[in-house]
Amino acid sequence: MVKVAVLVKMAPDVAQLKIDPATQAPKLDGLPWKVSDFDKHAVEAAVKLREAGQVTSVWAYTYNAGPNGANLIKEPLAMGCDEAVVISGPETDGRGTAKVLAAAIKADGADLVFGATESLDRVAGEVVLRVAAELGMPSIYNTQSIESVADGKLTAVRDADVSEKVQVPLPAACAMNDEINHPRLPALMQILQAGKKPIHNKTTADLGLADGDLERQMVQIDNKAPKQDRKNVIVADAAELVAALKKEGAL
Amino acid sequence: MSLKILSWSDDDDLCQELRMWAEKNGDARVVDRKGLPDQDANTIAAGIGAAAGDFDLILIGSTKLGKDIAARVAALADASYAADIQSLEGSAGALKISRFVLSGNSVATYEVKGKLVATAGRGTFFDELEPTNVDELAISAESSGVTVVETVGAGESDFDLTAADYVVGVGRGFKAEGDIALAQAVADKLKGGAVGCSRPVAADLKWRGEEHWIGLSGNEIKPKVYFAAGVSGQIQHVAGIRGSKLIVAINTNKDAPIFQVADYGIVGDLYTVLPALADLL
Repeated sequence: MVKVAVLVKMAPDVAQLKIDPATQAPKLDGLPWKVSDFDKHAVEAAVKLREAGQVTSVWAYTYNAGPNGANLIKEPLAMGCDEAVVISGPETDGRGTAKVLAAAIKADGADLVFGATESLDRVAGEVVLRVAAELGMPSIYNTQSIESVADGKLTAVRDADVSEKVQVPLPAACAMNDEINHPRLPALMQILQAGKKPIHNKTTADLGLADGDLERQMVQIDNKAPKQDRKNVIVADAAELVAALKKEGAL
Repeated sequence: MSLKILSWSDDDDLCQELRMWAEKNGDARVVDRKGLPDQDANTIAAGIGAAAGDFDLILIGSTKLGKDIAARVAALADASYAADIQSLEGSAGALKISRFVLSGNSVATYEVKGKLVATAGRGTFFDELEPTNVDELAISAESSGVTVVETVGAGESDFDLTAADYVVGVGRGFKAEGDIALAQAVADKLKGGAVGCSRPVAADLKWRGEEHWIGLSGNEIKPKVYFAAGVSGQIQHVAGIRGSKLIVAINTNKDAPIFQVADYGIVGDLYTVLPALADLL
């Protein structure tokens, strides 16, 4: 019996983000939310291992899944996760999120924790490693392939500066990079079935976490698109370009 | 009260840069890289994490190994974590950092309560390196249990795109790998010239290694001139070129977003523009 907990983040779809030209502030209000693309690689990796008979069950975990969370959690379920745990609680930072996810996973038990090296919005690559450390598990970062889960061990290739095939006894955590696989697009039947899979809704209070423990330690005081002080001059050809660059003293 | 700073990097230049910043801004120590049973990220993180109690700020070089270590250290130290910072200031318990968020669309500034673990890339604080006099701190940890069975593929090359004075960026406008020679011909005419590439060229097509990749997840470059050839200008790419003194865009699509962030643009085919440019340089 090997159980995988997959960390799934819902985040605003930054590909649709617009910047307010007056204030340079990103306009996040009204932006649709989606499953962070990187996390789908972690779901795919876990589901593949279950299909190969190397793990027995795959549960998805998400914290504060946003305005459309109840719907979005069906996507990892449709991709093949068996059950999902949807946790809600106070707004927090990466530190707090990792504490929540670790507490939830500890309550249910897991032999493997899968996630992504990056998230769509914060791009910090923080949470999987923090969850692993909170749970006392070793972690494999930047995982580019998983060879096997067998005999109580995970064998995977991580992209250090050289690629390294590493082996680690379970329990362990793995942060996937986006080269590991191509996440599946669930078929209609799987999408329909996903609605019937168990979804466990929990609060941080259910997990015994006090709001004070999750209080933001990193408080955002400003968020603006960098100013683009560029000249935006169109020149006709290479000769004009070279002349312009020489005039700038850049050549 | 002086800021107590511990730094670590597996990259010698980056390690020196972090030491310089730490020495100028507080009471600095640098991790003695010897004395651990192995150099696995989990083991190093355990060692640094165990020593973290005596420090307000732990600065880690933003290499692959550094990022692997840093977030674990943050959890072990119950500290905040900021990856790839753009700026850092403040005092113990009241640090302020900025970093790219929203996939490179914006730069957010944060006030940090308590302890902070941050990663920084080469050139975040200083371009020129100077000697420092920072004492080493011995750390210890047990082996993590992660064993390297074998190494696969080639090691890191010495190529350093971030040190180039001129960068010619290769994008999806190139039809074949061999055509990168057109970009190389321009780079070869410029002293300190090098060829970089966009994400799809490195990650999907694999025409060039990651050391050539320009962008938020790749290299953040700061050349005198960046020539973007056949690069559309996705936000992740643009986040990696903002430090360029001048940006030149060459693209057949006049509506490509790269023109909005360029100083000079040529709406034209890189297959004719690059050879003409190489002739003129």
